[in-house]
Amino acid sequence: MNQEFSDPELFTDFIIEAREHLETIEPNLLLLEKQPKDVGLLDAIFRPMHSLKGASGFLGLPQINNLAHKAENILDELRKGKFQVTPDIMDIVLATTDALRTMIENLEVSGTEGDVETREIIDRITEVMEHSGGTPAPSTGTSVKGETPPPVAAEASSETVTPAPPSGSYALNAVSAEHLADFLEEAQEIVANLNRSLLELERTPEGKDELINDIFRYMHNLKGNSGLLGFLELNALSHEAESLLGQVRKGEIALERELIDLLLAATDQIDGLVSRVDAPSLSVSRLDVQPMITRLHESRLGSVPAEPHPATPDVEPQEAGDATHCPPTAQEPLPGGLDPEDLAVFRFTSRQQMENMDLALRQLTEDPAQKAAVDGLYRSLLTLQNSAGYMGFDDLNVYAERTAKLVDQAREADMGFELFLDLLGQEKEIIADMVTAILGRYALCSAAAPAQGSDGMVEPPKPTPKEQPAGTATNIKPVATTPAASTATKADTQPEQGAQPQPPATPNPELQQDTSQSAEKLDQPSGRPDAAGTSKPKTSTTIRVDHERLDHLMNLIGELIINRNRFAMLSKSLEDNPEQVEQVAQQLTESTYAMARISDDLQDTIMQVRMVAVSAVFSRFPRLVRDLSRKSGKDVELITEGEETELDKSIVEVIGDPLVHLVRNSMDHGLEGREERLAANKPATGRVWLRAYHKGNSVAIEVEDDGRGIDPEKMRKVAVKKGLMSEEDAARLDDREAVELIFAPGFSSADTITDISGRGVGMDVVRTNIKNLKGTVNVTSELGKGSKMTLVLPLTLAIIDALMVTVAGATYAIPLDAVSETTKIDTSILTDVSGRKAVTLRDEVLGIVELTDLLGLPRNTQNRDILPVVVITDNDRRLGLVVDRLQERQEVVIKPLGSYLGDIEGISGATIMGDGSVVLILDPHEVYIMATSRPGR
Amino acid sequence: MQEQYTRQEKDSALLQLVTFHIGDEEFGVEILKVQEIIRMMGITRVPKAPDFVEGVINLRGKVIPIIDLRKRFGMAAQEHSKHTRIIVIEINKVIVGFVVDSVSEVLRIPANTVEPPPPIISGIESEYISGVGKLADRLLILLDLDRLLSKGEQNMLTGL
Repeated sequence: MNQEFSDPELFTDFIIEAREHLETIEPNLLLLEKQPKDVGLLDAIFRPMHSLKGASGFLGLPQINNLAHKAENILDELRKGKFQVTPDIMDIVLATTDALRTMIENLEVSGTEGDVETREIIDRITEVMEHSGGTPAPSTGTSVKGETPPPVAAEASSETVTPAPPSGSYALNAVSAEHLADFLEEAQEIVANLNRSLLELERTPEGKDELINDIFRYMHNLKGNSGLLGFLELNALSHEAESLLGQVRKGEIALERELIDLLLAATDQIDGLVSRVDAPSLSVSRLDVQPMITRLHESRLGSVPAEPHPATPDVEPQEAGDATHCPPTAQEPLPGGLDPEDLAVFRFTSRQQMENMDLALRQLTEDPAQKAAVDGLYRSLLTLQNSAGYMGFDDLNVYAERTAKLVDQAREADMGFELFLDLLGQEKEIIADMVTAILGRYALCSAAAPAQGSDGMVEPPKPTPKEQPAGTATNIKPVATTPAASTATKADTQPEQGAQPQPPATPNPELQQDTSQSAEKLDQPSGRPDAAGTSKPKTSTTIRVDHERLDHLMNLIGELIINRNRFAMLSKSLEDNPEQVEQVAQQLTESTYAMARISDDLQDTIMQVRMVAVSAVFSRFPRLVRDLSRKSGKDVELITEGEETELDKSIVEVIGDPLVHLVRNSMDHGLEGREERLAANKPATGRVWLRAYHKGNSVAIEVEDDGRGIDPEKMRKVAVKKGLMSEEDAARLDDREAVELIFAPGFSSADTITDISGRGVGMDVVRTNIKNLKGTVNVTSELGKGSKMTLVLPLTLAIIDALMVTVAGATYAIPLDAVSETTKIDTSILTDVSGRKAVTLRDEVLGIVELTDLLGLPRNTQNRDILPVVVITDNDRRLGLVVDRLQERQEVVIKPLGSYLGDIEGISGATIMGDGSVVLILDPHEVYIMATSRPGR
Repeated sequence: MQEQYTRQEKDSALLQLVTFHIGDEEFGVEILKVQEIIRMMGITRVPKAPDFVEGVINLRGKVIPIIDLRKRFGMAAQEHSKHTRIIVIEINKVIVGFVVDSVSEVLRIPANTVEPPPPIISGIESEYISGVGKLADRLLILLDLDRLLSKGEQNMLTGL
């Protein structure tokens, strides 16, 4: 199942969005389990699931779509109270989210959904739905099974253009790339407007007829534009949406939340369609929009049996000609200083132009080839546009201009005009509506509204169906992408806008594949693929940036350029007047200061842009803990703290897996079973803390538990048993070092290997991963009280503060985080402790090593009395490094040494100095290890 | 058309090489693998790195390792002169610079004049040689850079 994505960005966005949706869903599900009565929570779960369904649908991801659809169904039932939230149902829904997550991760890694067994989950959902407390839910039942064609009868609007099945692409009717670009730009604008308007409508559904009109108009525009282009799917979809909105406008359908959801989903799909257009080739790849059309259609038909709502206020502009119906509140502010005389002229002009247009359209209906009529139409629209512009009626101005452009394009493209007659009829009607609305607003509802009576002539048949089919009426139930659904409406395929002949709608091949997929894996719902965060060959990662920050960056760049020009100026003035050296030098200093300020600011801002809160990672842990707790039978409470702490995005992305290891370890090895806890006088519920906080210039993340702690004695024994070290060596380790054995490769002290952890590969991998991030991981533990793992991570991978030192003629950088102090030590106070040099510094014995020895560099042969020493710390242990000379501290940009050199012991990377030379960065942790593992001499 | 076609085909049978000298031998590498050729510059030594790794340099903001081909091939070391160059090679996203005694020219030779390598050429393990190009007046050793890099990497990893 290989999906071809025409737009990788869209695809990436989808993955990000899907992740976000799942991240919203999961914690809410866990909450819901605790508060099963909370309908608000259900809504909060339902929505993202719905979005996921929609998005996957138009990306052509049948499995995700199907599964999300089922999940949505069951959530919907829960929402409606058809049955209760039970742990069983929660398990199923959680299994669904797991499967979805797996598929999304597969998508990210390989670009395909992968073989994830969804059949079983779907069956379980179906089963639950069918046994739902005696309440038959026929519509749901059918859509779940996907067998019965939805009750869409053949009398579906005769204008429906059914798009072909989603395969390949077809050419658009665009005159030029520019034309298409215009279309795309406008379409995107419309989509944005649609989203905005719909959301506003959702917030305050009352008294927003103007808004509904706007939405209607947007859809209509889309329809027109897409029709002109021969963009079949978009045309069909917007047409259906427009029809639906038309009915909403007339008050035949009540605007409910489901309807807005549906319209939002339709807008999403429109957005998807628009982005499928391949501009350079003037073509578009096919997409199956039939399910959405069917849904729109159904909700339209379904609404008819409902009585026309007399309660709905009848304030549409269309009927504003009726003097009693004045819009109660003008939506737009009155353009200042409207001259009544002007208004009268406008009223006259607009009426005249509307009449002209009627006439032209009538002529065109009789003979589409009449060029004069087309020109007349165009002129009328232009006049209307100009006068609206003059009057400051922006809406009308824009709309008339748009329509005029449409006519103009059609005229120049020399296309058969009969195709546009319908369209233009509707355009004209809308313009008439707008004019009427405007006049109604300003003319105090005088009866001067332009005549409307001409619609019989040129207007297309109203999309209102004459009779409604029986069946699932008021339910706006999404219908599965069944082949049946697409064939149902296919019957009346009638290419409208000069569309090419349609191949018959064949059953969606992907769907069949989906159903026939063999049972393979994913029988454990909690099986989290380890692929996450490791290799991401297929997609690029993106980051969301606050617009203000971008503006700030832009300003800084501006300053930078000004400053650059200043440098150019200075160098020129020095060339012209070589004697002005002093003056120029001073100005140069000033400019350099300015440059320093700008670059600091740039660095700060870019860092901020890259920062994301660790909650992005923490959010997956409640779920993990719940699952593990269920599996192991231990009651565990997870306490997260400091989720708002921010870290570089590249770090946040990769600390997830190490943290999972740590939390699993805590739960599996750290926490005792219930009886053992009670016996040890501890509360029965074990606790695991996950906390993040700032620690100097780094961020620390801790995983702590109040379990049994790590027994150093046991660690020593295990190490010997596993052959990691000799008995003597083990005995020589102090307790802390013994505890740190858990990081040794191949070490696992668990008595039994469980499903959760204990395969002996965990902790050293954790340490390696964290080390790759230039971070450290430490463990502290108190026997019987619990243990704590602390990850210390740099705020960002890119830049660190470092202390520069000179050793054997070369400069090295030591990360300042690891430097506890620098000092000078008199050689006379050095003592030998078991073959190693040491010194007592403030009552503390400090080991001293020559850095040259560690790095295998030639030793300083000078006879020095005073040794410059850098004291580094590694997990609270200190070590003095003798260097040749201490230099200044400096912010350095970390550069990798490259894969060829790989891991060089003691070196974590390199940086580039102002003069272009390369300086190596020491790894304090490794340096410490090297110093202590070195045989003393 | 026909003529152009045949000419293209002929072209494709030509090897484009950058040739350079180390000691008395002349070597060739495929020109497409050569990113650039730069003059000698300050090299930062990397402690604990293998002996043939001269160090690292800053190539326009990127830190790349520099390998001394003389040492790599076990030849006697030689002071850098004004002819010494670094040939920057990129293979599989790995960028490495090779220090050579001098770079001579860009050459096209017909692919069919290249013969498989003899077992030993002046001490260089023949596994790094993809063939020997026979020119009118001299022999050209074609280096297999992919192997040189990956083999080098393997050695490095096992050596650590």
